[in-house]
Amino acid sequence: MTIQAFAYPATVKEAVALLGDSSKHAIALGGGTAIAHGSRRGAELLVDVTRCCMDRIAVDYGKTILLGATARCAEIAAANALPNAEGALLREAAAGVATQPLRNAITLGGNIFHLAAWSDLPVALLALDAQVQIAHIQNGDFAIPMSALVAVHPQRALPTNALITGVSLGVGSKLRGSVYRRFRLTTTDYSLITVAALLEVEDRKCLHAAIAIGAVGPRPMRAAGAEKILVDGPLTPKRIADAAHQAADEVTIAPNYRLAADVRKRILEVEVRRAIEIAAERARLKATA
Amino acid sequence: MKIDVTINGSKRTLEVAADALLLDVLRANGLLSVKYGCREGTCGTCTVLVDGRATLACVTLAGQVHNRSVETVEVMGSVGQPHPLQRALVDAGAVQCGFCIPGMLLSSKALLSSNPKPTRAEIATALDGNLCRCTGYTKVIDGIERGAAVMRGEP
Repeated sequence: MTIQAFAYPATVKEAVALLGDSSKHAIALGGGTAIAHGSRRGAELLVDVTRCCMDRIAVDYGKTILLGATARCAEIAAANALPNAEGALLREAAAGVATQPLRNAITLGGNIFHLAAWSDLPVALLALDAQVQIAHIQNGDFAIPMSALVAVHPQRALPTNALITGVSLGVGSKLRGSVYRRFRLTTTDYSLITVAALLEVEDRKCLHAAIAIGAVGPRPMRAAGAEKILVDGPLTPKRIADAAHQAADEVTIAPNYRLAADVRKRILEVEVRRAIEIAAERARLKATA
Repeated sequence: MKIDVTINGSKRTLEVAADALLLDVLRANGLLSVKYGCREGTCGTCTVLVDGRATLACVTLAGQVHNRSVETVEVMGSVGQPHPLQRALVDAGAVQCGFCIPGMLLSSKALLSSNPKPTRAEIATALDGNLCRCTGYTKVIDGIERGAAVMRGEP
């Protein structure tokens, strides 16, 4: 089936009704970069959701970051008002996505829904324990944790014709530091390894650790075993090295023609170690600021 | 399907196939500066501005620009009256085969509209989606830097 028409709803409610209309196979269109190249899933109708006012980037009472599904990577990268380590992690993840024209097109919702091994925002959102907001014609409005979405793949985890409307995540203590690291062959290459790290450190003791790893397998994962090594202990070089080693051991590394799995595992351990060190240093600098 | 789009300042109503790429529609309407390069969003030779944002026409469906504005390099100047950025790139020796230049110019135009005094690193980031096989980029960045200064009214 080829695309027959576009629809341009002005509200989320209109968009959800169009997507839920069983007389036509409709899919949502955000930035369109995935759909232009063929991932159209047999759709007859493209519902352009970029005009539904889902592009906000906001902070609610200083405690919750709210991002609309059609906020573009370029906009998130430039959102200096997003606070603390959480805001910094989102900006760093968004700023390195692909190239500038693609950052201008790729939306938050699209980057989640069309999750690919190299997608960046889902890795950061996984580390940030984000909740993804959904609207659906039958199920109404609800939220699903990012972890549940990426456990199988968003397109399998979500009901048919669900619309991602945004993301919310909590703003943590000012004692947190974060970093988003990428290993790739050029500055605009698809990433071969990504690591999002968020640490809370007080008096050299790690109070919170979130380490999400992407690009090494089909979907991002949290390195729960590595996090457990770090939390409630002093951040010594040995503890950090042990956590990095554990992370490389516990995640599933898929074979890839560009980088063999055994090589990727060794580089991953280095990248995780560096991520922990940098996040910890950024947390330390904030504490002494 | 019909789309209403402002192209280089002129309002147009175009009849397009629902799955037509913006690249093909613009070229079919005589805007040949929008180049058919990789056709997969990596080379940047099809860069246009949509509502002022650098956009790759080869990964944009024409229907996405309904009720939006599109600019191509044709809006930037002419042989007789080149835009300061065009003049600056020529003067810097940044134009060899010329294939990447329309995309470079539009990405630069978009950058300077929000950042009139960019650093070289910011220029490089803004142009990171525009590949050039000829120049090695240094003279392109030199030219954009110089053109930006002219646009700011600096000598």
